[in-house]
Amino acid sequence: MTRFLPAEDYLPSGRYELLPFRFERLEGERVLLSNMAGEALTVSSADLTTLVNGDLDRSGALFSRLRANHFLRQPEDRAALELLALKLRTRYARLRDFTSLHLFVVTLRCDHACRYCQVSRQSADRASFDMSRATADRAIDLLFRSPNQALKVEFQGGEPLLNFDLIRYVVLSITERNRQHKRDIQFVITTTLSLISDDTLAFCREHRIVLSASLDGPEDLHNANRPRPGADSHARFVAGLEKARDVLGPEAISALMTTTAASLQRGPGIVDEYLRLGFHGIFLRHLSPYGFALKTKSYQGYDTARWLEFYEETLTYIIDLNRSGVRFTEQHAAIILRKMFSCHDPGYVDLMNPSGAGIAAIVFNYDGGVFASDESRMLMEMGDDTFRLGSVHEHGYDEIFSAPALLSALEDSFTLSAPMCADCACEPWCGADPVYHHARHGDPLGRKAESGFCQRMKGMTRIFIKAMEDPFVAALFRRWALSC
Amino acid sequence: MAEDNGLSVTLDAQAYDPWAVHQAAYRLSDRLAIQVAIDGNTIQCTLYPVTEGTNSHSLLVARADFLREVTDQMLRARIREATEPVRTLILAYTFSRSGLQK
Amino acid sequence: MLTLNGKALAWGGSAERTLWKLTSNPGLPVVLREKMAFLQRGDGPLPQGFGAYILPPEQQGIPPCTHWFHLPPDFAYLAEGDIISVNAGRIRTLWRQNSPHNAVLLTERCDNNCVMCSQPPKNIEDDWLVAEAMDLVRMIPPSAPVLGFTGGEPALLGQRLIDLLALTRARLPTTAVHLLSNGRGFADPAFSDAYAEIQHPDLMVGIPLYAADPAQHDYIVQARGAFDQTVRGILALKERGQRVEVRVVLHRQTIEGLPALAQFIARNLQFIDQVALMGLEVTGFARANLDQVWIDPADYRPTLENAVALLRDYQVPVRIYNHPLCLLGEMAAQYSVKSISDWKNEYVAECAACTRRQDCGGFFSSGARYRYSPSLRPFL
Repeated sequence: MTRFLPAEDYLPSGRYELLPFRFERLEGERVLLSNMAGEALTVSSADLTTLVNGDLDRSGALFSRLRANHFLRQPEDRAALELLALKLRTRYARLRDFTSLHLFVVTLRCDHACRYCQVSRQSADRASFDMSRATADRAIDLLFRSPNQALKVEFQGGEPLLNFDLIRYVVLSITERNRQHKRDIQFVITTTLSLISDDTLAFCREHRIVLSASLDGPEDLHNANRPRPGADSHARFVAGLEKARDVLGPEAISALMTTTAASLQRGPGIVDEYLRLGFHGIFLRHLSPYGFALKTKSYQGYDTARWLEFYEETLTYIIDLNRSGVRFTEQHAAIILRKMFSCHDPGYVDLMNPSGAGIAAIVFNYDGGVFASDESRMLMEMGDDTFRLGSVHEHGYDEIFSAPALLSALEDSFTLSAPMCADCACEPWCGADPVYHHARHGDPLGRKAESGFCQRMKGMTRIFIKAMEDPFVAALFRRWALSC
Repeated sequence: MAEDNGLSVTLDAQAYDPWAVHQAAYRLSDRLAIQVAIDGNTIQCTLYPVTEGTNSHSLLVARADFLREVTDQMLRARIREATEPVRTLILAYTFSRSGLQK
Repeated sequence: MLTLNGKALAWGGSAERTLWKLTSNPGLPVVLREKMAFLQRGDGPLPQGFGAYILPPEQQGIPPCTHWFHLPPDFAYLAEGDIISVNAGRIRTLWRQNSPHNAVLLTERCDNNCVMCSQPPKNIEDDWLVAEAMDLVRMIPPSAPVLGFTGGEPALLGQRLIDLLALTRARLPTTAVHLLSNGRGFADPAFSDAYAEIQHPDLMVGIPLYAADPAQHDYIVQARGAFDQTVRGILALKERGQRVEVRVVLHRQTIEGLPALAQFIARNLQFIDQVALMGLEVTGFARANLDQVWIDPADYRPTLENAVALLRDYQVPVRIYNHPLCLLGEMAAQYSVKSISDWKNEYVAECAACTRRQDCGGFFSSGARYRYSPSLRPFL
């Protein structure tokens, strides 16, 4: 008859070894730990000390949790190393695919005069501010040089529909040329919807183009942010929205908000407006620094702290909606949570490390200028052309993608070699944002202690971790993360 | 308080690593500018407030924060040192094998 | 519960181990009869020329120089196309043509010793089992949709397992094969290379993982280092493009850690082909260790639902096998498969009025006999 040994006999003996991890202190003597693959746990401050001293009780629940989650191992645990390596490889797999998002700025002309916009021109001068076919052709050449099988083409402006002829030309041209290349291509037009016509919608339906529109909140807020002749931006948006949904289906139109100082008081109201208009989620965007002149440090700090209050309040409101049975997602959270819940990168350009600039996205301006990101373009409108990588008319693919401006921005901002970032527990979920840091601090790395970007990311992660102490929220966040 | 309004903190160079002190200084650089000098067996730190209107009380709080941060940086250095070999091994695995990634 | 092993009431002919495929067709072409056993039903005259005869006890006139058997009533289920192995009067049913659940035992040896093992290991020399399996594979009709290989631990057979699988691929090219293994042998790259080289078109190996904590898994399987080897075996198989199912038996030692295990699988083994959650079979060691492993499934319902929800969110395919439907709850019931081998299946009195028996994952007869949940409720 076989003798069965008790569980105690299978506990490991001898010293355990730490596996690489980072920590950040939270409030109330709690500490956040994250391992090499970006998986997180919270422990008490005392437990952290015990852990590092090698004194953790081998029979305790904490030891088995840390061992199962790859924060420590016994010397005989070989699988842990292979699994961590696998997870790391998954995290960086996206790099191989290279540039996916290609923005075509087809015109700077716009019917709106949004207060935070830096680029649009109130002008009828097509020649000066529209992209030409010649420029488009060269940009398309560069597009197909990308090794990525999946390409996303996004039309930006101004108001892109004001140059719809060029959009039509680009879509048809790319579709035709793609017969040879056989990539998966998705088209998006960012538009206010104020000028959407039946013809435009028919074309969009035919080529499966999706629309990305702006909705800042309830009518008064939206119109105050986004003036146009007739002061009817919101009404036109709603009319355009319904019309577009009738032709393209609701899933084809998404809405983005821009957050201004006025928005900070109105979080729940903004969410309600999205809900009222039939959207199933919202992206609570941070205040963009580009619409304002560079401010003093203190203003910037106030901004981030105040924004985090707005964010937490609005997120709580959204969670409560879900509690009451309404499915509504906060998409900014979903993107960050995806990085916390899995090793699969959501591909959100602004939160990538190495930076998404160039690697994930590239911008072709109306005049053929090539930029590392949309923010880079806006920076140039403010007089700083640091991140202008060249021109489609003068430079080839290699010159653009190995432009010193791009390479040094990527290298200098790489978080794993950046002070503070290299030690930060949130690093796996964060990103490098060289353009922001250049604009704010004068170098791509920035001074993280003063960085609004850093404060925002740390602030948001803390909010998520606290909220997930509630099992309902943990399950909700997991669903958001894994379906985004 | 030092003459120029800075707060002095003296650390034993045997007990603390200057690198950890610099890292801590960097982390707090939104609130404090910290001058570091090595003097034989001690590390002399002088803490200057960055924001205006910092009183002596908040400077003492800042000193407490600084010391705690230095301790944390020492802890980080310890973890880093203990895990450096296995980190290298994992990275070697990461970039050497193929098959599971399609 | 069907009897698969037994003794003939009386028999004649050679004592050598032989496999026989059965037929009740008296008009079978003469050239085919030599290799087959005739299953006599009723009173008709015995057709000549068969290699063996299965006769009712009252049969008069046994043909000379042949094998013949009188079988006990337990074997009355035998039918056309079934394959039996006989050895000096001992009968083992190896293949039932009507059953979707044929599993071939390859060895009783095992390098684990699970506390709830339903097929307790024996340290004996039983290579004849795999030899017999090769003969069986040559006799199974190629139209067979599925075949299972089990043990003990089949990987202990080494090259002989590889040979058997290669033979199965050749002889039964469209039969889906399900192999059960603890996975440890596959951590050896040479062995998993050989396994992958078979290039079987429809082969899956089911590998148990009982906890995310190596110490807990090692305790449940009673082998130090088993977790590490098993996980490395799984990785080796997936690296070579082989299909792997992770199996978890639900009992008191695995339930508490089930959400953590689901999390471990989701974060580390997301490429796994399927996770199979299994109801407990109260036989073998499970019966001996009942006090350690028994838990009323009604008590673990929320934990099970949490684990299933997590795997679902991570898009890891989940199936629940061998589990009474009424104890699962609506959410988990969607993942339940009617699956207990028909020869092990039974229901208890509480199930008599149930309207959903045909959907139910079922009940081990061992459970019916020794212990089952007091929370069973028929659907009405």
